[in-house]
Amino acid sequence: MARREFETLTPQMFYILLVLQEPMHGYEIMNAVSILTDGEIQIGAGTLYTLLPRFETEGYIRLVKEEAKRKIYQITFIGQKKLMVEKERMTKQLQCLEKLYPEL
Amino acid sequence: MKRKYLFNHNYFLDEERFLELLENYSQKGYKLKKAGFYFLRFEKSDTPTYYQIDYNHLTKEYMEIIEEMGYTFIDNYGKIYIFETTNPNAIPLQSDEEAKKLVLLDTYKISTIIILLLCAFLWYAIFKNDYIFRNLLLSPGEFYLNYLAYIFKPVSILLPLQFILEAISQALSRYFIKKDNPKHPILNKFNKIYKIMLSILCIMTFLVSIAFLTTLTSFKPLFYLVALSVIYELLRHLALRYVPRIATKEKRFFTQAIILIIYFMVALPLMDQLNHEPKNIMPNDFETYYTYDSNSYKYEKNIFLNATYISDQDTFEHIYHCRNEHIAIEVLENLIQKDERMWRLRHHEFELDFSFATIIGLNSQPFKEFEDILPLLEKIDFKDLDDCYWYDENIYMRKDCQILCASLKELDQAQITGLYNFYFQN
Repeated sequence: MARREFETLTPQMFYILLVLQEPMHGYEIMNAVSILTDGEIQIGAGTLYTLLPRFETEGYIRLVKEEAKRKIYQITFIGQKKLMVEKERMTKQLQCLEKLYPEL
Repeated sequence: MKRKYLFNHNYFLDEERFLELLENYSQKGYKLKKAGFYFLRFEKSDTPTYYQIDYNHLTKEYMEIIEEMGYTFIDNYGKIYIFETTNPNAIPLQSDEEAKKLVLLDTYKISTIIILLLCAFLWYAIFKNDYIFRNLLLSPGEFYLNYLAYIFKPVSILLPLQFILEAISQALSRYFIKKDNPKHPILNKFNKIYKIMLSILCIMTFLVSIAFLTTLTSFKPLFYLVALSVIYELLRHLALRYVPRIATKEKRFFTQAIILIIYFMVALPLMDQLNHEPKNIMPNDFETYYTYDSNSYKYEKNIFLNATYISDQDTFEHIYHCRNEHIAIEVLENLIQKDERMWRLRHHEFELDFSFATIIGLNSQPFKEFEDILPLLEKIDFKDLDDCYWYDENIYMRKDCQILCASLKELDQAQITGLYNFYFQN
């Protein structure tokens, strides 16, 4: 059933998918996003645990293995496609911005 | 240790207000220890505490991560989990509004709303069948005698209402979360009314329970009714507080499902029992009535039994096919009680006591209790029959849901065997 929960990704959703290029568990994801964005984007544990099962249902990520009760996830092909769609959307936004305000 | 209790005004439904309240108390030097539906318990503590609310299922892995982030779990109420931290710069648990919306929509599920409405319907069905509410148009004198019935009446409306209100509250919450407006004034107002209604309901249930205790012996259906409410409230309480806090989603679902199944398993059979007043069970008007010379035949059918009466001048045979065994036992006892009373009247004995015929006490006053009559009865052992009594000129036989009551002059073993063979062997 297509629920269309993730039509557009919020920055936090985007960064979670981005860092999952490498297999990681929950706490590592939070740290990786924080390091990647120089602490600008910090993901709360609640948000992470709301999103991971949903991403898994949507097929964006998959469970690689379970180590000492920690679930390790990695991005899937569908997830990479979703990131590409996001990239196109953002590029388009950037192009529009440069077209109208080249001096910015 | 110094403790402080605070009445819980709907705080769980308005997260911001709740967190604000907790932080105010933290500044005053009180730390939240327990969160119940009616009270919040605070204890004295000097370290400033910061709080967070989350709605995710608390799995072991999740708990570890939360602890690594510096939070400690305090208490939960249903799906609302409260955490504390002493670090003012700790990352909030829900850092993304979109993700929070998703988890909130999961908290206010459509299936819960449907289950609540089903519960409301079940209670309505139980009360609708109860005989007392069908006989409420009484004279003032009867009203005085049956005032207890009027205390019980509100329960029939209030209990289903409780479920309906809860369902509306859930549905409204879901609607406004979907509309990105969970703090809509309508929702807040409704939730306030809901909380007040729930408090009134609780007080009513309590009063009814006390009133019920006074009629414990003479009024069976309400015994089951109150027992059912108590069981329900208990299960509800258990479900909200003691369903494993740290468990997988599946485990949690099964626990809740089992609790619901137990509730319905208890509730549904009791629906049968609620109609067990002999006045209601025993036939009054006969659907068909034939008389041939000195013989007569009557037939009565109601929701509890089918009864056939065949009689001539000297003898009679009554056959009752009851809906279930419980009713059959009640009918049998009632028949014996009636005959015992007739026997006393025939022999010019006085009535046992002066009494009013009341709805509540109808079966007890003018009649001897069945237990008092038992010594007068001669029990006959038939291997296939559940009960077989011989009393005066009457014989009573019961097998499962079928009862035979026969009156024969000069009853002898051959006649008894004949009756048994005719009605129970074929």
